[in-house]
Amino acid sequence: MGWILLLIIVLLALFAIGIYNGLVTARNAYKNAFAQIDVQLTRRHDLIPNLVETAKGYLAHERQTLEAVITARNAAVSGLKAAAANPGDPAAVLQLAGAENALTGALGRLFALAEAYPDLKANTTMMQLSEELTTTENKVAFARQAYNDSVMGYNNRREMFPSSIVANMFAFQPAQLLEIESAAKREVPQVKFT
Amino acid sequence: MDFFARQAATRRQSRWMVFLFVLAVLAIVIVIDLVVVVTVAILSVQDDGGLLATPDMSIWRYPTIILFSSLVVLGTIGISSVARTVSLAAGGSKVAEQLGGTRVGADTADPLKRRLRNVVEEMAIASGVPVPQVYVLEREAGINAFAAGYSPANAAIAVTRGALVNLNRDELQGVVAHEFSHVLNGDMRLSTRLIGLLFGLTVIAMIARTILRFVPRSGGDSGRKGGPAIAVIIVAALIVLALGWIGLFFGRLIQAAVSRNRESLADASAVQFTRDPTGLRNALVKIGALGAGSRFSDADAEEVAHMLFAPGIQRLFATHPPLEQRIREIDPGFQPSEFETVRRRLAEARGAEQEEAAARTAAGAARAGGLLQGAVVLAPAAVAGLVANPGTEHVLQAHEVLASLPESFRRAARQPEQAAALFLALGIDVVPEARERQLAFIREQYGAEFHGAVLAMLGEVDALTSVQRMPALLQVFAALNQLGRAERVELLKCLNGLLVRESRPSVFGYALRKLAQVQLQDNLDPRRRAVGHLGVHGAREELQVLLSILAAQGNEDEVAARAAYDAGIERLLPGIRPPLLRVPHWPPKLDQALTRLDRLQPAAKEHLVQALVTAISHDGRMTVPESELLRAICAVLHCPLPPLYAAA
Repeated sequence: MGWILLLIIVLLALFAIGIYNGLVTARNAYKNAFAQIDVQLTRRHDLIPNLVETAKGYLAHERQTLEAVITARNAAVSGLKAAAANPGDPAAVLQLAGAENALTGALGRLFALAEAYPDLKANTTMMQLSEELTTTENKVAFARQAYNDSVMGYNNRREMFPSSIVANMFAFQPAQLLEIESAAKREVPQVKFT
Repeated sequence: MDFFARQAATRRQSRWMVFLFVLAVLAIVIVIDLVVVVTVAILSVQDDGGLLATPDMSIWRYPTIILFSSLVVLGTIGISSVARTVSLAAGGSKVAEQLGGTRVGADTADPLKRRLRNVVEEMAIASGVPVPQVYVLEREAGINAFAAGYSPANAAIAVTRGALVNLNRDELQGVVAHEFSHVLNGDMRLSTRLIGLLFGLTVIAMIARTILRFVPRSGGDSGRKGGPAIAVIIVAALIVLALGWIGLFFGRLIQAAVSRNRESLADASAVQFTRDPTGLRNALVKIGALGAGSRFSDADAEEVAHMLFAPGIQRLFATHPPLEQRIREIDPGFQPSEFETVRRRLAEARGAEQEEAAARTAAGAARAGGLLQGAVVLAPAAVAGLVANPGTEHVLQAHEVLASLPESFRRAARQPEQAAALFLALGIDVVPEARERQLAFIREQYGAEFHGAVLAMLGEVDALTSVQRMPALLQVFAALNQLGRAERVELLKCLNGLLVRESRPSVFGYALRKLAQVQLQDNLDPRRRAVGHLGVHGAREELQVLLSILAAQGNEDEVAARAAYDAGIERLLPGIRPPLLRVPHWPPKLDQALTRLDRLQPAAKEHLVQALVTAISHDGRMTVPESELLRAICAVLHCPLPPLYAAA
């Protein structure tokens, strides 16, 4: 009788090890997917100082908007740094999404303003920069899909029975989906004078 | 249909394709055998002399002949199919190059190609496929594209020039996504293999066509000695051509069978990739609306008709589903009347563009006359406030000066070759002996042809007023940036050669060199420049040199120069006031000083530019050399400076 019990325990342990390894694989997969986004977001942040520098020459009276973009960019840079250090921290990822969306909003206002300055719009550097920004944002969007897919796979595994038991035992944290809008594709916001 | 189902469907389809191919080959062999047997039978009867005797049609009388002709036909088809397939082994780039495609590198500067390249990279991320080679078919004005290659690793995506120009970003993304779905689903492999097989089927018709092309037209030849022989050849070639049509017929049938439904599938997965149906939909609508549509002008398009984005050739067996049907599958609410609306809108946009260009030229010429008269001496106005902040008025004036440049100038500034000639012409001295030295140098470096081009530009350059020279130069850079790395380096070398041969160092020549270095060379090495940490006091000597040179170049007599210098240096280093220096050979000294000053911290740079403006405007006017030097200094310091022109 005793050896049957032993056999069951051994089998259960092997089963738990399998589940544990599966969870680790899924967690590494979404962390790797985050690294892909990290590359593109860093590029986005690198483009913005140049963009502001170019726009500054034409938007002398729009200092506020330009400063808002820079502030939002700096917040996003530190948000990215925190999230990249630990993609498993849902708070950091949520904060990054918030910072990126604030940046998107600030950029959207800058582009809306640029509409009123044909010289700025026709500036070749500006055109190049906004093309690069668009493509980077698209790349972020596509890389984000892969990230969110693997986050969903991980979360499903973590919450479903019986792997949820193992996940709870070893404290596997839930991962956070990332939602970022892109500035260049957004509709031009309505500007109201109050 | 998911990924695996589609791969399975592709495999089924390739078996079907091979079956059709075998059928086609059999049909060709049988028909040719029949023709050969009939011909031989007729000839043999004639040999017997009895014209009335009926030829014996029993094919069993000619087993050797049948075997022989079958082998010849099979061999021709087989060898040419294999040869074509082998020639495509290099992958999709081979197909794209044969159709006149030029490669788009990862570092292209042309905005339209840059956009294409970016879109392809995005789709590579979206579909998880390595980035394929990208080609542009420069000669094709229609909107079309294709993907070719045996595996995602050696795939190539080619897009026509018409698609680059006429489609906006989202539409281009839709088209590229459509092509990516071919890459991903294995369609592309099948299509590329089909090129090889098709070549075998059409080779007989091609041989006949080539013979017909090289045989002289029978017009007046019939009386001459070679007449009958040529007539026989022509008749034979015509028969072979007729036989070849069987191959063409089957080839097109196969193309249509393979292509039609996979185009619809690719449309569907393109929408999946981009998650936005409007781009692809609008691209298809534009094809319907444009006169050129998706038509291909290249004769080789026959071969790739089945892999194009939209029909490249109009023919009986359509390779693509009707355009309207494709649009309706994406957007069920589509009305064909939209074609007309889009056509009208495109025409309007083009008209407005032309009108605007015409208006700009006319207004510019009319208004610039007055501006240029008194413009040799420039008023400084509030230049300090203008650094990096041009007011609206300034921008308008800049436009007027630009508009006053001759039309030939603007045309030249758009094209890299001409722009290079114009660029060097601007660097040529006015003193005759120096000019001769410089021109001889150009002839030696670039050859007689380019020497001629520079000479042609020189006439126009001489006609410029000094105010116009700087704007003319600034216009050239956009086109020069399209040159490759080696060409730019060569051009800079040549410019340096010219400036060495100047009669005496000129301010404009110096500004020319510095601007060229910044604009052409920095672009080549776009590594992020580190922000400097140097303070004003760390570069005291350099500041002294810089301001001394600026004061000496901007003022004729020494008293005025000293006053200007003092005003500037007081602003930078109050209380220290290093004395004015005399700098006889100033360009190398200035170079040295500027290299170090570029490492100033941003705030110190701003301070420096203000000091420069103070020195310049000390006497209440800004001369042309002063403005040119200021522009060169700002360029080297990487401070953006708006166009500076006379204020009334």
